[in-house]
Amino acid sequence: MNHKPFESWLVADEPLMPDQEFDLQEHLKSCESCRRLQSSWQEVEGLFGELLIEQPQPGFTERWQVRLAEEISREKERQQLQSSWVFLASTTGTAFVILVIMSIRFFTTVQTPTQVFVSGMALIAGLLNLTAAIQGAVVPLLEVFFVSVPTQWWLFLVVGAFVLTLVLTFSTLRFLSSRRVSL
Amino acid sequence: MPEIESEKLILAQNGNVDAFSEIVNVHQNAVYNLCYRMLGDPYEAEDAAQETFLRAYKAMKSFDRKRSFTTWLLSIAAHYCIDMLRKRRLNIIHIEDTPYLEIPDPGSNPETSLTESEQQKRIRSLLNVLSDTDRAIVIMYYWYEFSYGEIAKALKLSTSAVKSRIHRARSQLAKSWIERNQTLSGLERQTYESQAL
Repeated sequence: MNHKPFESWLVADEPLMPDQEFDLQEHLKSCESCRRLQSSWQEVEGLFGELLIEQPQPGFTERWQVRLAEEISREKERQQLQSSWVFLASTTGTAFVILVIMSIRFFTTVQTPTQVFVSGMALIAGLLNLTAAIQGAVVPLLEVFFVSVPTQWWLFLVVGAFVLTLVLTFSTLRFLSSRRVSL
Repeated sequence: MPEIESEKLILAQNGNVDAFSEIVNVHQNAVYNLCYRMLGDPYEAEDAAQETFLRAYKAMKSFDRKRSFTTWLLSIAAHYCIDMLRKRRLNIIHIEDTPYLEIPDPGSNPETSLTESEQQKRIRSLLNVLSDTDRAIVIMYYWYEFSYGEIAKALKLSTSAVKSRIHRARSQLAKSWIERNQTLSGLERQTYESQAL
């Protein structure tokens, strides 16, 4: 016996056509298996007719808030770690690039250790000469300046510099201190 | 199903935790029930429901207010539970490979049996027959009275797929109920015969 359409009709959601309903009833009279399926589905439907909504333990929302706070702090840590890694990688990368450029310059200009020593000494001598020249130019200028500026002006300059230093320190501290982040 | 006012949703979308906590308060039963029906374990259901709200909170900005919030939320819960069931199955396969380890039958746990009513147990054993997606469909259809269209949207299926899956699930449930009754009557007969002997 072919049960297929009848089995399907027995559990159908939409109402059957009158001729389908008739055929089904005729089939059910002679088919024990489909009758069993029908009563079984009716029992299941009955069970589904009185469904309960299960509830969580009290304090669910509070537990969720705790979990959210933990998740936010974990996320913050992850971001900090990530930015530390980015900083480290960029610093290392920059240092590596500088090292490569310097090595290329070094190997293209200098071949022997004697040449390295001679170039180093020449560089130091050049720097010393430059310092002496700056000293020669700046010291007479300062001498003229100290004599020509009156004492009150000096006082004004010192107080101004002190106030500016205070403002700078305060701003830096405010900028560096961690800001409070509200949830 | 209670729907949240759009004012609360806007606040929650802007990251207001208090507004979202109210949403959690209103929807906790619906989400927990879905997770419980899907996973069949109160502890796992609690964890899944908490995770659902966490995911929803993170994804709040992408929520389209023209959609139903409940459908969106339950869709997150259903997808998460389906993933959990897949992971659980993988773990069970892994444990089965391990020698000398018995897997306890969740239905025969005396603690659970005591707290769970007979009807709840029957429903759970019935739902266990279905595949993960079919189970989610049946739960949304019977517990939340979602339409085919709403279920289709929530589970990213076509409406015709939902219809045919519900039809198939009903047939499976009815057949499984017959088998269960046969097993029970067989057990009763055995008990009767052993008593007679």
